[in-house]
Amino acid sequence: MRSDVKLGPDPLLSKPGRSYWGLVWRQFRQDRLALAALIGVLLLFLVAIFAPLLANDKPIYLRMQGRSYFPIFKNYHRFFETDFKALADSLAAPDLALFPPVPYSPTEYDLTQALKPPNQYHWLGTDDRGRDILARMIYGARVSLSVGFVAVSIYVLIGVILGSLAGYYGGVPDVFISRAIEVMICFPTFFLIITIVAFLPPSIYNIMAAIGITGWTGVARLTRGEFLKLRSREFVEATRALGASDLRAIFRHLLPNALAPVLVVATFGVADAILIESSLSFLGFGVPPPTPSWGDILSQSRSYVDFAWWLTTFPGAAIFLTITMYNLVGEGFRDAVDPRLKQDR
Amino acid sequence: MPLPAAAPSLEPLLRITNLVTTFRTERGLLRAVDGVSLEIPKGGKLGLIGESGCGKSVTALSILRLIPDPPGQIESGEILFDGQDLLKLPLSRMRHIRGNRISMIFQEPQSSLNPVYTVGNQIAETIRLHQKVSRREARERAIAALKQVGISDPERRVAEYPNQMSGGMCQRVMIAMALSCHPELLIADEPSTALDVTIQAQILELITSLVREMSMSLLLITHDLGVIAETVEQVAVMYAGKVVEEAEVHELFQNPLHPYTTGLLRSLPKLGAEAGQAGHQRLQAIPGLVPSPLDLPFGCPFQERCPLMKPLCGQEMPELEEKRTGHRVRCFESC
Repeated sequence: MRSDVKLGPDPLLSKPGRSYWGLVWRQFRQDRLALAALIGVLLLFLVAIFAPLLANDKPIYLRMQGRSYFPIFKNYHRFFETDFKALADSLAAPDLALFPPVPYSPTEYDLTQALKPPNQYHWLGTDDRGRDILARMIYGARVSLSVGFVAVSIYVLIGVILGSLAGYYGGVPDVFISRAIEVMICFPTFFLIITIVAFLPPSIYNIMAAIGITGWTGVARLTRGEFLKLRSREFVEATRALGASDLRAIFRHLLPNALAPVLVVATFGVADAILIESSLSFLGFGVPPPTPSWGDILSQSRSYVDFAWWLTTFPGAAIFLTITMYNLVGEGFRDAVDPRLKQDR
Repeated sequence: MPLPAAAPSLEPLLRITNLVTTFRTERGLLRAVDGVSLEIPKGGKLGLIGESGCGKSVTALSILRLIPDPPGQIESGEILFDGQDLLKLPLSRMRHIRGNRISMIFQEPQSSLNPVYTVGNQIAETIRLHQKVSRREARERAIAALKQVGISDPERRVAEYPNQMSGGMCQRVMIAMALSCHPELLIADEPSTALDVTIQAQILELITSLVREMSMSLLLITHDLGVIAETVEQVAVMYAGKVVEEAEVHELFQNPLHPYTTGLLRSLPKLGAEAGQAGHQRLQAIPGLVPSPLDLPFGCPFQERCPLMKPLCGQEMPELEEKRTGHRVRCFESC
């Protein structure tokens, strides 16, 4: 796999006091590509969290007539419906207006600037209503990441609970849950999601819920398998012999041991969920306008695809890069969790 | 009228009567424990000996009602612990007994500890499961428990993970965990089998001294005759799910009555009997194999391997009878 891994002292013995997750992190760190991807993902998170400070039509800081204002953080009565850009143009020293790096809001349109290729004002160009693509993409990151995380959290929760019950108890509960999983797998997930979303009012929460309630089968099967494997381990019997209840054995003793592979799958799952959300938005089932989403920008570009390359390239690249980064993180994580896969040099 | 204070109670701490535990398998019903009766007095030490698959561990797990169901099931019998029938207790009361009044330690110390928690964490959890104490106090008691089982530098060790400890250390931690709530009965299921010989001796010594110190009763399960001889007072020999012989430990070693016990003792290597010396001879093995528990012969289960076999053995099951004082055996021939 990699040739730069040195056979040092046994990682289990070299440092005292290492927890399991500490060991996993040590392994993960050695995979440069995965580490870079993790940093990329974290940066994307920062972008999503601080989107209003990165792209906004209001200044971060405004000094006027000797007073300071922070229009992004606070609504001032005197600036109600003020056009800050016109205001900024009229300011003279020492008054000043400090705008974010992208001085456009995702919904601010200017028809005189429609369909402009990337230029000094609009770094990634504008769409057919003159909205800034970069601003829309920055806000679109919020949609993508939150859909990815919330949807995956929902299905990890469902999958882990059902999978652990099936794996721990076996017998009748296992038969029911396993059959439910098989029935669920028979449906083509994407069409099932479209069907569910079609019946619900368009909202980002319904998309999260739809992905969440359709995606749990993989996690459930994996958790069930891990529990089957772990159930016969002595420490489970030992904890029960020392008086622990079933629920305690499941959630406190077995689950932490089964969690690592589940989290690996969840990491890949976030990538999938982002892709599903983009596809839904592209098909028009996604987040309702004017909320920007990467898939939504792509969708609008369809009419202008023969000349407006910036409309397809940038959101497409954002989706591609995000998915790739998540997959790289997932792969690095998987290798770190499962040392057997790593040592095939 | 004053009651006779602290009169030695005749009621044993644990009395198992006619325990039958079965497992449903694809090839039929397997009677892993078939009518076992045992008694452990308060402060007594009973050894349960027999080869793999004879039902020793199933007996122990039945006491704690930890038989996996399905496929296992305790079919009948009575397990009286301190006067109450454990088999009739609701599960919540049973959980209160496990780890608190009856504790168990297992064969594989390293896999008996949860790899994701520190050892201190696991001991403290057991304490907090049964007693209302603060986290800090539980931790302090965990440190004290580690000290008690002879782990040096317990303040540091308490924060270590099982993978950082040797097998012997892990077994000490298991013992600390099992004894953290001062149980009245300790069940040790092959506690030293997975350890190397020097550590074995230390662990057995530790168990014996702690059992004495805390005046606990002990049920020691093993297939090692040497371990039995050193540790317990009373021995029950099991074969194919049944107790075939029971006696006080010296009596059993000096006057083994059942041909199976005799065979076991003969198959031990003797010190000093080295090659070329007087008394040197091949180890005597018991001929044949243990019959499959799914396909036991009619009558005595040992008949096919028994040097004393006679026609009656194939016709009915011998009863466990007292042939000498305090020495009971399940055999028609021995006397």
